[in-house]
Amino acid sequence: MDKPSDRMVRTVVIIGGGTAGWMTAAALSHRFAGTAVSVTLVESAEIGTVGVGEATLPQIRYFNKALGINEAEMMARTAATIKLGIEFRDWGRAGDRYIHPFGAHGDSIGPADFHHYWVKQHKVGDVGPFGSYCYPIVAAWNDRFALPDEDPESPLSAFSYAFQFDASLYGAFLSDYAQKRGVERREGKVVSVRSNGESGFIEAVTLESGEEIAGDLFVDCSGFRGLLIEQELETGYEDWSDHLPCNRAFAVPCAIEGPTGPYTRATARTGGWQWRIPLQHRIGNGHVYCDRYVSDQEAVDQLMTTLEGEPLADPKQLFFKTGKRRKLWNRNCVAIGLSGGFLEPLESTSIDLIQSGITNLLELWPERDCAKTDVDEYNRLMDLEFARIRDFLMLHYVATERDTPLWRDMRNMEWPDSLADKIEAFRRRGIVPEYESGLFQPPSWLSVFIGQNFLPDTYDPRVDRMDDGERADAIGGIQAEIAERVEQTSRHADFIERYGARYGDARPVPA
Amino acid sequence: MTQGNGTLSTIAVFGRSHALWPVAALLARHLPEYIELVLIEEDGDVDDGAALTLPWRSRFHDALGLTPVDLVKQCNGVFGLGVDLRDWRGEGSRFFLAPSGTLPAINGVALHHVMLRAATMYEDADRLDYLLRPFRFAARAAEAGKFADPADGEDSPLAMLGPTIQCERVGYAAMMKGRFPTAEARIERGRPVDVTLDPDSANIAVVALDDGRKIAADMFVDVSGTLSELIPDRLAPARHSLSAIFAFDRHVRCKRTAADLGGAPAARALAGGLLVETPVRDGICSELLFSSDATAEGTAREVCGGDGRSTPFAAFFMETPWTGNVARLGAASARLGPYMSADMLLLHEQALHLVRCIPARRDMAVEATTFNRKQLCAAEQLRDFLALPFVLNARADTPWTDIRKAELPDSLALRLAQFRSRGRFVTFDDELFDRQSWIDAMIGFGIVPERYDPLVDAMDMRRIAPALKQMVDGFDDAIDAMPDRAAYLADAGLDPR
Repeated sequence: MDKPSDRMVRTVVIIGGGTAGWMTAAALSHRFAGTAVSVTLVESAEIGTVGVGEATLPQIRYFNKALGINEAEMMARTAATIKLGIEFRDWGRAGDRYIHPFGAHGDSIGPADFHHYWVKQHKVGDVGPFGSYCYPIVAAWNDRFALPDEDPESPLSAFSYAFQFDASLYGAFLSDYAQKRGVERREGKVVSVRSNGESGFIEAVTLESGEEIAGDLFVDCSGFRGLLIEQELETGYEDWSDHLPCNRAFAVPCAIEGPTGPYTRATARTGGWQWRIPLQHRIGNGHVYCDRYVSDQEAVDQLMTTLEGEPLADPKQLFFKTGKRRKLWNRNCVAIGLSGGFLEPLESTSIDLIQSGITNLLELWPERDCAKTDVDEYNRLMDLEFARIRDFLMLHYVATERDTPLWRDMRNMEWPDSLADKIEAFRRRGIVPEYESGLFQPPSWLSVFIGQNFLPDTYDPRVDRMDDGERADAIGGIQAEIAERVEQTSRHADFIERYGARYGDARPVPA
Repeated sequence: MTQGNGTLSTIAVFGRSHALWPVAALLARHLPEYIELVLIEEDGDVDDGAALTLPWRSRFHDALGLTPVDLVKQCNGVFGLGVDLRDWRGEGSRFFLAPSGTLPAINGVALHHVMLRAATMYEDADRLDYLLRPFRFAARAAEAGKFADPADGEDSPLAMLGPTIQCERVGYAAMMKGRFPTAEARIERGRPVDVTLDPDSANIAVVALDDGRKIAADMFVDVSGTLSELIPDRLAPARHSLSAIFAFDRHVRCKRTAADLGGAPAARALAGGLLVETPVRDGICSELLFSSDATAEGTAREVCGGDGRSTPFAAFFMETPWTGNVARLGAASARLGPYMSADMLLLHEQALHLVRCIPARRDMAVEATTFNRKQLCAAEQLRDFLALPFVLNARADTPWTDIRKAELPDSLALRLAQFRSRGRFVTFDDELFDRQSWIDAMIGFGIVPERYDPLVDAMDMRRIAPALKQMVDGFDDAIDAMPDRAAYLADAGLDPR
C-alpha cells in the first residue's frame, strides 16, 4: 500500500473567481499553509460574476474567524453593514411585517417553550407582537446594534448577527488574503478540459493562452454553467422549480436616502418578491420572480418604481433554475457555489451553502483517488443541507393568504412530505422542527410561522400549570426588559464608526 | 382556561415498579391540573437481582430535581467511572468504556489523528490504541481505584469524568415510588386483562383489570408491555429485530454477596453468552444473556451464580410505539438487555419526549408522530452504541463469530466506514453518547483508521510531543490528587457493606 503522503492531493485547481472561488481559495490557503499543497485559481475578467449575494447568515462570522480575519477590517473593505435578520413585508397578507431574526424569541419561563406561553396569551388577547419579545428584532427596528454580550448569563448574549456586504468587494478582500498565503491566480478563460479516459478524473484544464493547468483535485466555482461538474462530467441537475418556481431576477443598486436599519428586507410581490439590502454606500435591490406569473417588463417596472433612492446603474437581469447537481462531488471535482445548486436568495443561503461546501470538503479532504466513502459522505451531507433549506424556503410561499396565481398555486401544490409534516405539527400543536445539522433552527421556523399568521390551534398543555397572572407578568417582563435594553443600545451607524468599520468615504445616515 | 373542546381529561399509565414510577414522577411534574393521572401498578416480577448503571449526568434526573448524590443515597447505590469490558477481543482482553468528555484538539485536529501519524511513522499503525491509553483519563482513574465528582468547566481534567451510578432496580423503583407525590395521581393495583376498542377510531376506550374494575382514559401509556399484548396484532406497531447482533435468546439473573469488583460494572463476553456484573452497595448483581443452543440452563445458572430460572430474551425495538391513543415506552416498545442498562436509558429518553408531547387534544396524531420520531432517534443511538463492541468483537466462538457477520444498521455502518476510512466521527441529530466515548471504543475495539487528517502532515511532531507530555502529566497529577474510591464513598456515607 502507498504511504498516505504518497497519495496526498498536492495540487488544487479552482475554476472561477467569484465569491465561491475566493472563499474556497482563502479557506484552503489558510488550512494548508506550510504544506506541500498548492492552490491555483483560474478566473477571467471577461466572465462577470453574479455578485448579488450580498446578505449573509451569522455562520459567515465563524468562517471569517477561522481564517483569522479582522471583522472590522473586513467590514471596512466590503462596505458591510450589520444584519440582525430579514424583514418580511406583505408575506402572510398585505400590510404584514415581521423579522426573521438571528436569535430566539422570549426566554425560559417554564417547562414548555416560550412560544407556547405566547400562543396562550395571544388566545386570551393580551399580548404584544411576537417580535417584541426578541432583542435582535426590536434592535433592528430601532436601528440599533451592539455586539452580543460575552457573558452567557446575559440576556444580550443570546443572539447573533451577520453582514450585508458588497460580494464583489468581499471576493476581492479574500483574493488578497488568499494570494498573500500562496494561492496562484491565473487570468484566462478555460477552453478545454482533459480527463483520464479510464477513471474519468479531470487531469488538467487548458486556457485560451494555451497554458495547461494540471491538478489532483478540481473545485468548480464557475457559476450556473458548471464548467467542470456539468459540461465536462455531465453530472446532471435536480430541477426543483416545481417547488421553488421563481426563475428570474432583476438587480439594481440605488442611493441611500434615509436610515436603513441593520436588516435585509424581502417584500412579497405579485409573482415573486423584492429584496433590499442596505450597505454602507448604497442599497442593493432586486426583484425575484417567476416568468410564468409576471412578464420581464412588469418585473423590472415594479422594481424600478419602488426603489427608495436614485438608481445607481441599469437593472441587470439574471436567469436561474432552482435545484442542485445530482452529485456535488463527482470523481475529483467538487462543485461549490452556483455550480452546485441554487435555491433562490430569499433567506441569504447562497454564501452559507458555499461555506458548507468548503467546510465539508475540508472535513473530508481526500487523497488523489477520492475515496468513494469520502465522496458519498460529502454528497449525503450537502443533500441534507439543500433539502432542509428547500423546505424552509417553501414555507414562506405556502403559509400565506396572498391570492394571486403564484401564491395560490404554491399553497395548493403537493408539498414535500417533510414540509407537510412540519406544517401540520405546528398548525395542530405548535411543534417546531428540531434538528442539529440543519441551517434553520426552531427560532427561524417560529418566526415565519407566526410572522405569516400561521398560529397553532393548541399549545403545550404544560403552559396551563402556570396561572394567568404569573404568565402575563412573565411575558410582559420580557417585553419590557428588551425594550429597555434596546433603548440603551447604540445606533447602528455609531457602532460602525466606533468599531472602525467605516467604508471609504461612506457617511452614516442621520436618524 | 383549557384548550377547548376535545381537551384530554385522563392519562392512565400501566406498568411494573421500576418502569412505572420514574415515568409517573415525570408526568406528575408536567401535567396540568385538568388532566388526571391514573397509575395502575402491576404486581409480578419485582426485578430481584437486576441492577442499573445510570449516568451521573442525566437530563431525566435533572428534570426530576434529583442530584447524583441524592439519587445514590436514596436508592442505596454506589458510584463508578464506567464499564469494564472483558474478553470481547479474546480471552484476557480488557477495555474500560468510560464517558470521557472531549480531548483537547491539537491545532484543530483530533488527537487520534496525531497519534495515528506517530504510530505510522514507526510503521506500526496498530500501536494507535496503545499510544492513546495515557489520554483515557477516566479509564486510568478507574484503574487506579480513584473517584471524584466531575468538575464543571474545561480547565480541570476532572471535567472529563462522566461517573456512573450503580444500584438495584428494586431500590431505584422504591426510591421513585417513595418520592412520588401521591396526591398528584389516582393509584391502583392490578393487571390489565382485556381492552375495549372504540369502533370508530380503534383507540382503546376502556381497559379491564384482573379484578373486574374498568379503567377509562383518553390516553394510555404502557411502560411494561402487558397492556400492549392485549391489543390486536393488526393494530400493533412493527418490531425491528436486533437478534442478529444481540444474538442471545435467554436471560437469567441473580444477586450474590461478594467483594466489591473495584467499583466498575463488568460486561464479560463468554462462549455462548454475555455476563453483566454490577457491584452495588451490598453485593454484585449478575445478569447473563445466553444462547440456549450453546449453553445449557444449568450451566447458565452456574455462570451467573444463582438458582433463578431463565426467561426468554429477544432484542427488538419499535419504530412507532405510539399508535392511536396508546404510547408504549420501555419494555412495551423495546428490549435492549442489561448491558449498559440500555432499557432504562431508553425509558428515560422516551419519558422526556413524552412530556414534551403531552397531547393538547384527544386527537393526538401530531404528538404521536413527533414522539415516535424523537424516540426512534434515541433508540437508534442506543442500538448503535450498544452494538459497537458486539460487531467489533474478536472472539473465535459462537455466537460471536456470527455476530461479526450481521448486517449493520445504516447509521452504524456509515459511522464505522467513515472512521475506518479516515478517522472521522460522523454525528447525527440528538447524540446520546459523547464523541470521545465512540472514538475510544472504536479504537479500543481494534479499528485503526486507514488515513489520518492530512493537516497532521504539516505539524512538527517534535514540537507536539512536549505539549502531549504536558497533557499526560496534568492527567497524572489529577489522578494522584483524586481520593481513593473507597475513601470517597466512606466520606459520603456510601461505603459498600
